[in-house]
Amino acid sequence: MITVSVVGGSGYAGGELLRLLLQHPKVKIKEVTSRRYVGESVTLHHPNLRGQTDLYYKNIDKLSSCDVLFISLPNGVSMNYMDKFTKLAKYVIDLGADFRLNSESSWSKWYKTEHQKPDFLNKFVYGVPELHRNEIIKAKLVAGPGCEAIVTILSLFPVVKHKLINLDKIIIDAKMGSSQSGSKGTDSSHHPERSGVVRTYMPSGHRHTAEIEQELSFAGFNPKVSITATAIEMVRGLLVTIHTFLNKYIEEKDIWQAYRTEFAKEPFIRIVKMKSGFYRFPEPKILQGTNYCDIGFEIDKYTNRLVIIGAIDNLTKGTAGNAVQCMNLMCGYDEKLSLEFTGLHPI
Amino acid sequence: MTKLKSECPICAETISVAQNIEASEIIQCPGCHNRIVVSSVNGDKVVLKEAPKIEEDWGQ
Repeated sequence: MITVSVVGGSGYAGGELLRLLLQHPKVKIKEVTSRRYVGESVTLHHPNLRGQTDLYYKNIDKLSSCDVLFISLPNGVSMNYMDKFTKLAKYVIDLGADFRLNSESSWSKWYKTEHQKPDFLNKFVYGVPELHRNEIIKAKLVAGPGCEAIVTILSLFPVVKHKLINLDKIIIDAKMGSSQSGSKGTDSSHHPERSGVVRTYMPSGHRHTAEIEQELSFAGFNPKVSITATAIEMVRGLLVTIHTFLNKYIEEKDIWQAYRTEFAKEPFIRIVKMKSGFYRFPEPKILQGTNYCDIGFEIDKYTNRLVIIGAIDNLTKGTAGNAVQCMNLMCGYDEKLSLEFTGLHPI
Repeated sequence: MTKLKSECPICAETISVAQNIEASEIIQCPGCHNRIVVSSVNGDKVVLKEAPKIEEDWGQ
């Protein structure tokens, strides 16, 4: 049994993390912090956890040592505490963006601030088990990927590695659920403004571009990706429709072969490309609460376009579930522990 | 029972089928989970084809 604490446990990612950790057979949650809700019950903000925990939020300054420390703070905050965090815990898993990028200049370019702990950037392993499993097993520090980034990286990795697509023309159309913008309300998230939208809020310049290109730049590849993000009527979930162009004429069997080669043994990746049924391609609706990343594809022979479709629950495989998968690997547990929920249907 | 090997016409997964399988039988590919029809059986050679699907009107 290991002790685990969560820094920033009142947000949606923190709540999802607590849900998964409370049902984990090898974990005891020691402390949960919140800047806003010190002294309040965790279940006041995460009512789904009633009856499962009697934890109260602590001040971050009162945090004591533990085996694994999860950090779920807004971007740009955890870097200011990282010296302290690494002294408190043997393993640190940061769900935020602060340590995802390998270079200080890349951080400054995409996040428009100076990085306060650049010496830590290369100490963190980018936490995608499907790409970095062996590094994560040995790691003490892991940076959880962005939700939009992880589903895109997983969807594209096999076709990049197998040199099937033109790396200069990758267009990602992302449809986002509202939980992705966090638990703090804003004018734009006010119900009359947010409800029912199909709102393209970022036609270009999405910050996850940096980590997607970083992770797909291997073996001499240097892909360029273009992201357009649209908020839709969905609380949990993320769907990416990725438009790519094939390098030469190939058949769908060749695409199958690439995905099978890379992901056949992955416990949380499913290739979804059915010829019949209602859910023929990936659909976030049936992934709510699960750690699956569903990936589908189709070749448009007219333009030699390969359309790739990826879906996840942004809070589970997109954040907390993936972080627990990393923790399982770092601590030597079965990586599927507490993550085998199959989802609900109908929902 | 001896198995005959063939290839999924959709995803190219190797599929093992029973030796006594007959033409027009429907099976499911273990790779892509799609429905496959046995087109013909000739000795050790089994030819598989994509099963006919019910076309649906998606409201267009």
